[in-house]
Amino acid sequence: MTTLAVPFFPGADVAQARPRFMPTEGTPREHEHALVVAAQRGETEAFADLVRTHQRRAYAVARAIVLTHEDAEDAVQEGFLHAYRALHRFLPDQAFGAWLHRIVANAALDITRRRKVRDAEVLADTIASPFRDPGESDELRRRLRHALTTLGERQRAVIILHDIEGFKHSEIGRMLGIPEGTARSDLHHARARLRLELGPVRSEL
Amino acid sequence: MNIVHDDDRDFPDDEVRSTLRVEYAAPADGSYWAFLERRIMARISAESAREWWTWFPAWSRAGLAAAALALLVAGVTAWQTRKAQERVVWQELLETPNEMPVIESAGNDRANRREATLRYLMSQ
Repeated sequence: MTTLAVPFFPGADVAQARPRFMPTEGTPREHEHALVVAAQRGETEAFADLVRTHQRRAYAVARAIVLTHEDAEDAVQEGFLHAYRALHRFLPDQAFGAWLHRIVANAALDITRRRKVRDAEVLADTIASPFRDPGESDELRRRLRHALTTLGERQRAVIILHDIEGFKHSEIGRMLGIPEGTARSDLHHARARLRLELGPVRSEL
Repeated sequence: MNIVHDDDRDFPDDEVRSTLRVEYAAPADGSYWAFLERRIMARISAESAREWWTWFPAWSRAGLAAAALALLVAGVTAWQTRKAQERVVWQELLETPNEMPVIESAGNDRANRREATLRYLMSQ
């Protein structure tokens, strides 16, 4: 079956529609390389494959930076849209995931900047994502949410990306546009802050 | 000097970590991801269908419009200037007095005199 590919670049010739992208044999890296090249040629099905492959990880990156599930979702969508627009500038030999994560992180940071007007009380409420069990009453979780609001947004992002999502300091640095040493230092201070905030709770529980 | 650890030595504890994991876990429902993918691809399809000028940011569209307007005004001004110059040239040409310049040719007069002298001598 063949489907018409949506023209990728403005002014692209609709008459030059190509057949749907067919997956290639080989390693995942080679497969991804083929997907990127096909997407750059304007095959939207190939780009859809890239979205399918990377959206969960992209969500994790966005979720570490923004405060709510909805904002993370918006950041993921914005990130993929930006990536699509900039795809012709991407070199297919590079790691697509790392490139995408940086774009998604930037989109998430933009959303965070726009949300800065919220006060601390609203932050404490919204950090509990309505996507998951809003009715739970676990004390540690409640205090943890509060403790997270006491961190700077970059510190919070770094601790989630490193300790929960398993990214390396260098990867976090590239994503957030900060030196690796700063990411390392932010992680240390974020952990110390959490320990301080949660210390009394832990002794109470 | 502030020593920054690379490992997990200064992380509060495993319970805090697992609580954080739950807090930040991505949705597990496969249908959610299929829905998100469709939304992303719908936006991308809409993006592909956009007119060419919408690819420029709003400020650059305003700049392009201003530049096009400036170019139009400059073109019209240049055309009008050229027309006015042509009109002036024609006006000058038409208003020039109808006297033709008199060219005195000393050479011709001398030749005529020489010819008349020669005729006189031949008639003697």
